[in-house]
Amino acid sequence: MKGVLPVNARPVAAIAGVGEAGIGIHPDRTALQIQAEAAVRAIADAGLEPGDIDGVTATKGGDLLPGDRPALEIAEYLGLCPVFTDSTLAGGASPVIQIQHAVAAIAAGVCETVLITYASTQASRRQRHLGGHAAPEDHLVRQFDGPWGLPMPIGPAALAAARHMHRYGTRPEDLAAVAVSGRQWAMRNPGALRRDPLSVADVLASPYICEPLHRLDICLVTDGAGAVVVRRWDRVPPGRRVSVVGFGEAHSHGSILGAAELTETPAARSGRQAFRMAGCGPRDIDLLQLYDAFTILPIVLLENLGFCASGDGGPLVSSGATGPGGQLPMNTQGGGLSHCHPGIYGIFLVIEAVRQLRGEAGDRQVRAEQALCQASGGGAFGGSQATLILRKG
Amino acid sequence: MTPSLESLLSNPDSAPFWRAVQEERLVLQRCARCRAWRYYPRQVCPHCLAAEYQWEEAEGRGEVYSITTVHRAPAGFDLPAPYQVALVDLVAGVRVLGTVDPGSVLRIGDPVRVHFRQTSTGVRLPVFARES
Repeated sequence: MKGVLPVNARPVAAIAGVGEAGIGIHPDRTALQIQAEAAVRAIADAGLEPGDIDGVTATKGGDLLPGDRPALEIAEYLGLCPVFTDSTLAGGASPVIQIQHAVAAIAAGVCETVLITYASTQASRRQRHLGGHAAPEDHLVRQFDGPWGLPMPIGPAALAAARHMHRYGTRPEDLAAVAVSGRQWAMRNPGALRRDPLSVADVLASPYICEPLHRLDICLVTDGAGAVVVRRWDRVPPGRRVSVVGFGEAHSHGSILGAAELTETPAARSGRQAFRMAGCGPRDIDLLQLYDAFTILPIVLLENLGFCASGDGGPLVSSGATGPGGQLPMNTQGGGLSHCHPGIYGIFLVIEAVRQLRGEAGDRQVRAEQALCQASGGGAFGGSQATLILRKG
Repeated sequence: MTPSLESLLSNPDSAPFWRAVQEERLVLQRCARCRAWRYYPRQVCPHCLAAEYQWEEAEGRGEVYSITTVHRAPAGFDLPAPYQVALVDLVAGVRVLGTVDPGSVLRIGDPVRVHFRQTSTGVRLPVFARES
């Protein structure tokens, strides 16, 4: 049946705790260490004991090794024996998809309290070991997206940006405005790694990597870990509770060769599902947390989710609407462009949304009752999308 | 990143495609049931799931759907940056990714033709050039 969770019924689950660790470049720490540290912080933030956790999820990106079982690995490290696990691999969207799967499992009654984790030390490992894990020579898709000299994942994003500029007249200044907006918020976040002032001119003056993307159109490369505890709603005390009121996932392609139209991601489908479940629409959202691995991505997501018409995303951001003082605050922690980006950013979108809805965001606090988190991922520019709508209380 | 011939011939889904490329021929799979062309090659039709198909000579003409100029080449690629990489819609109705011939400077919408270049490893690869 469509929509197991009835519109506007009492929520099934809430976010009870969040935690982060290891954000920066820390060659002396391992991914498991910072993953465990973030998990312990989230469990403590929820006011819970390890014995309360009966579900565990984790994902990996470029760190993934043959034989890895991400959820089982962190469960054992922490001494947990879950009755629900998820190691979904969908790139940057994975942590938000895992949160959704956890809520569905809670709704089915198979578990009550799920720990969602992510960690990577890709940045400091790259400094020690050049290159990542090469695909075997008979990997089918690599044979068709690999031999042409297109850097990954930047290349597909550049192709999407070029297509968007061609279709709608989006300007380089509009892309740069996304980076500037995030930096303005990051300057109010002591936890952000990039906090020096940034102008549109600065972004355009940074060297081209893949046209039209300049270096400052592209997210940071850092280490970092994040964790979230999702619990059955009636077991979370109301004081700092953040309810999950709507969600959806949708997938359109894995490689750049499978994308039908680069400016139209499945965020439109995942968003429609989430809004239907929540019984609301874009005008009911006070805070946006949109994946910003590349400046073009939030522009495309604003359009695909219905916050503006197709083609109007660039002018919307250039108007200042998403920055401090604007009517659509976006990525108030600084996003992947200024806060951190350990390969996968999805979990940090949720952590910031929770802090804002609880009123724990300090100098960057906005007035928000409902937040929308949009995590993008998959193989090539936005082929996997996950929408999560959170409500205060 | 520039593959060896042995590696390109190592997957049974794609070996016929790459073998034809070494002969400077462009062949694509065509579904025997619904007649759709498909790319990248695979055993199953992504439109109707039929298993039956033929390899057919494809017309190497198309139009640039999107394009980027790469300024930082990935490790192991045999051409020096800057060069262009394009997504091209072939007339057969499939979209392919490929390097642009260093002698061409292309934009979205430009008509292109598939040619073949010999890489530093001796392997032939398709490359796009402006259709004159």
